[in-house]
Amino acid sequence: MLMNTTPIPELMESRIEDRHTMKWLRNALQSAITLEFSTLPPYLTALWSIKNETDPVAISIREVVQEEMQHMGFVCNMLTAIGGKPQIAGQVPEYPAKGLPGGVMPDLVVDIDGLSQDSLVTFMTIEQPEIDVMTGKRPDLWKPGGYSTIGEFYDAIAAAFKELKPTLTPVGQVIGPRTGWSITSLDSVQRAINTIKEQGEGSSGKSPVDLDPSDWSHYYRFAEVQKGREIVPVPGQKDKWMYGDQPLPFPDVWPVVKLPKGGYDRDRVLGAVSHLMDQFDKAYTALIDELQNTWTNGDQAALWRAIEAMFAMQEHALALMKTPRYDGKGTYVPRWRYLAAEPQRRSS
Amino acid sequence: MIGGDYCNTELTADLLPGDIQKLTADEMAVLWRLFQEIGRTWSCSRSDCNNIRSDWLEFIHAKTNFPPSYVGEYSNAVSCVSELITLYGEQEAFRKLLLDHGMRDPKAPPLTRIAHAKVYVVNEFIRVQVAKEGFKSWSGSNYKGYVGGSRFNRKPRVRIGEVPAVPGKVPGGEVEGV
Amino acid sequence: MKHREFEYVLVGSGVAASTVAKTILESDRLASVLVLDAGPKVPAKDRRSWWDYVVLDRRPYDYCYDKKGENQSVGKTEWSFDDGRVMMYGGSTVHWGGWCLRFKPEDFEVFSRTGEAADWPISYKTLEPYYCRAEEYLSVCGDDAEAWTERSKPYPLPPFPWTAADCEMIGAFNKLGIKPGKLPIARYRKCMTTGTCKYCPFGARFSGQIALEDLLEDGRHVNLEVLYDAPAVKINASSKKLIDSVEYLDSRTGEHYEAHAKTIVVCAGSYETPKLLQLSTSDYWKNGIGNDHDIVGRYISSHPFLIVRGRLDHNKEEWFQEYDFPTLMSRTYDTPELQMDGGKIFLFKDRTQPNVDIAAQMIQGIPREEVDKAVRATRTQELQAFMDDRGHFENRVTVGRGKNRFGLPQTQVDFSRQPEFYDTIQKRLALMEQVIVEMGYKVDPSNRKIRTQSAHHMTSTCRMGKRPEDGVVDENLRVHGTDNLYVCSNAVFPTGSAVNPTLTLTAMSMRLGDHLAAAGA
Repeated sequence: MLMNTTPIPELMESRIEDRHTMKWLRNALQSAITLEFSTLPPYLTALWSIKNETDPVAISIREVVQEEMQHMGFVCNMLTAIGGKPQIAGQVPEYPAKGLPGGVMPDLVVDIDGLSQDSLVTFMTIEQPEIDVMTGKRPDLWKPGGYSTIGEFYDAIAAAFKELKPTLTPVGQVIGPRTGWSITSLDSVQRAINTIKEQGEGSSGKSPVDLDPSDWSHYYRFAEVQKGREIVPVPGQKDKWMYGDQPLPFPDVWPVVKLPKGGYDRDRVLGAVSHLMDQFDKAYTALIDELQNTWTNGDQAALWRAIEAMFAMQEHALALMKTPRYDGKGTYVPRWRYLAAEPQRRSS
Repeated sequence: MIGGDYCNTELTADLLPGDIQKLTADEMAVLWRLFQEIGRTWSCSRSDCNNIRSDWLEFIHAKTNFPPSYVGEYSNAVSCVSELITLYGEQEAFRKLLLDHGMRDPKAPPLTRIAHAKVYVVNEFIRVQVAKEGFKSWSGSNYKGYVGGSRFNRKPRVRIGEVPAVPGKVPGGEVEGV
Repeated sequence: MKHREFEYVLVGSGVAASTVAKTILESDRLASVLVLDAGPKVPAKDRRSWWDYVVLDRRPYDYCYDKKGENQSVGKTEWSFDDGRVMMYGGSTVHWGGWCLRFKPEDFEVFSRTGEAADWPISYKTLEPYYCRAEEYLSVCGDDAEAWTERSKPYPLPPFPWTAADCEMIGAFNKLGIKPGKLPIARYRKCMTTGTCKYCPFGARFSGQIALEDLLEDGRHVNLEVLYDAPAVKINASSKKLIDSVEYLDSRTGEHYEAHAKTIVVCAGSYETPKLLQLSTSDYWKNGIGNDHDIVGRYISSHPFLIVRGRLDHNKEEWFQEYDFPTLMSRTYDTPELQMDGGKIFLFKDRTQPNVDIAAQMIQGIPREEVDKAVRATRTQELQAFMDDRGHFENRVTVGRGKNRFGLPQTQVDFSRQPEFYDTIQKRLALMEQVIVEMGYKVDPSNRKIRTQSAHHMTSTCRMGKRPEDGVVDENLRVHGTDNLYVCSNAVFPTGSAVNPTLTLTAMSMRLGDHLAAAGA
């Protein structure tokens, strides 16, 4: 179990009166932060494995990643608004991971892999709505989470805010690109939670659309790619959707193979490749440390450094994904290891 | 000129000394209020500047913790605002400072306390506000100093248009963008 | 005088030096390389500096430009030293725009085609694979669908889209048969179009400084050393052919050093490179190294910069500047035909127009409704062009009077245009004016002109030539008459084409780096 994270099933199983306490709310928000962050490594690896930046699938998944970062930003700001201190460093899992952080879907294996049918099914599972509007039923790949959906968890957070009506301070909040708004009122809390839910699962039971009519929520974006067909309105029927005839071609991807359990055999990995892996991990560590600095100190500049670190990660990841593995089976993926102490940097 | 004896005290144009000093919480509150009044006066913030508060804080941090420090200027500006409020009341104080200040020559050296407040604080705050949020209220998508995020999105970072067709070719043209 | 030993000494720290260093180190991580720069180090991505740039339009390296009163222009044509180059760690790529266009095949054959200037001793075809590598390295974002030159690989990244304001000029282009293009520009994926390219907060545009910092941070390069505040004073020869060392000054302490090397590469730009060679006199080289035939510093070639501005009586779309680089260009007149007819031009739309300084209105105290009116009242657009230039023997760079504050000798430029040049300029301006008129704008007569000549893209002052009588360096950039002295700079280009030189310099630097690495191996 990762540090400082209360299991979400445990939070959801609390009695109502316990859920409407500041302690519960702070713990729930911290668990939400850890959960939102945990989607980034697998989603980013899948995104980066797509060769063409402007492929429609790449654009769609990039928007998913950006929305997940926005969700994380919202939740960090919510916790900051009530006087809490978001914890990001020390919360990151190692891969392949069993279950999501916070005890969510404990049997789900989350691999570091390129975009593939397997990874898409995993992503759809993570984002599962209660009802798949395309079928009108629970999703086939339904995994019990100890409670219904992540959406329910956010509903509980919203209810706690509504009940407690805490003082919300803008001090320490940081707004990044596309974050939208600061958390300074109950209305802004509810809007943020609606955004997180609708961008993630969609308007459960109603449509695959999230907030923007031209956007699908994450579950349906992944579903479209997995099925290879675009979602379209059912002709002549209002608020009805189907997988249409328009194909959504699977994009051209680097031939990566998922990260093996225990990582790569260092003795067999060439020095140059090892160097790339280390460079990636350093940049990933910088990302996490700078995200931590962002909310520990309310530091906008730290957020810019975090974003820059993410692009450095992408460059190293791309170089790995183009490099054939020592066993001849496909190409490498990054290890996503957080390094506890940064090596000395030499510069003039 | 606006203000009273304090505001109209004569000074040289150089930056007021401020190294080593720190701003107090009360001074920060007044400066933040001044920043918000910019968004209110020109109706160019939908969030009362709260969405760009962290940007503004980072700006203040950069201006007060690295040389040449602006702490002396910020402290002076707070005192000027205080006198203006005493003389005119809050609403009118900010209106005068932002709209009715009489200091229209941008190249004129600031030779009084109120002129210092205008040049070193108000004018720079205006530029920060416009760059980080205000420009959007004039149909803009992007601006010098604005960080909009990755450019590999459906929504382009800048305003794009319909590319005119070459005469004689099929009309309609293409719409630019990723 | 203290002595130090290296395998390579590179004079200068801009794109040429950093690329040569990188290419050498890729083949031998332990190579001992010293990079020297006369100028200071100005920290990149400093937050206070960035905010001062946004708010006060002040760049932290503004003091690294030539100052007014320094340097001398002695020819018949006025020469400006303003803003032409940056003397600092990282060189002029600290301030460059990142425009990355390939020269065209005819640019390598100007003498054969026109009887003027000189041919390159290599062809476009020879350089083409290096152009591909350079584009990858600089992360050039371009449109593969455009076919201005033949290319064997696609661009690494897609182009930036045209703006709404570009589309107005594209309409005029289309009517006049000018093909619009998307300017290929060097930006990494992390570019977020903050409009602060000249001091990017993310380091999203290549600079020699960032490139060298990355090389230094790589723990494998234990024998790489970079010194700034260290002007090279003289290059010493131990015999006619063998160049032994670079004498440099540590400006901070006042001490002089001699850095001995097996190979020395001068990457100091088109002003400093010829001056350094001219100053490096000895019994073996009485006129300066490589200057037995009095070619060093001669044949200045630098783009004439043409502009035509127009004004419209409204700006109802409220357009203002959103990118800090141009996106619309055309190479329709960058052709062999116009090359034969006096000079070809590369067209591009000025990135800074249309623009409204909204904050300036607010600073004046103008209320919202009046600001709205001012924003919508009028706008300007400007079509600009570089023209290819032909170097002439008598136009030259020499050592000026005194030194500047970085310890570099001041520069004297003797530059005079040929009379027929102005006829060609008028013809090209007339072409450009047609575009502005076709857009429905009124031409601004005071901004229908060529700008004062400057060194922004100066080339040819140590040009390549097959023979020592024709050029300072050979096709591998080795100084004629020496075994181990090279020049890697825009200075070696026999001609400068109509487009920016940096992509070509990067390609040439990679080619030289490969050559040196193979020789070292």
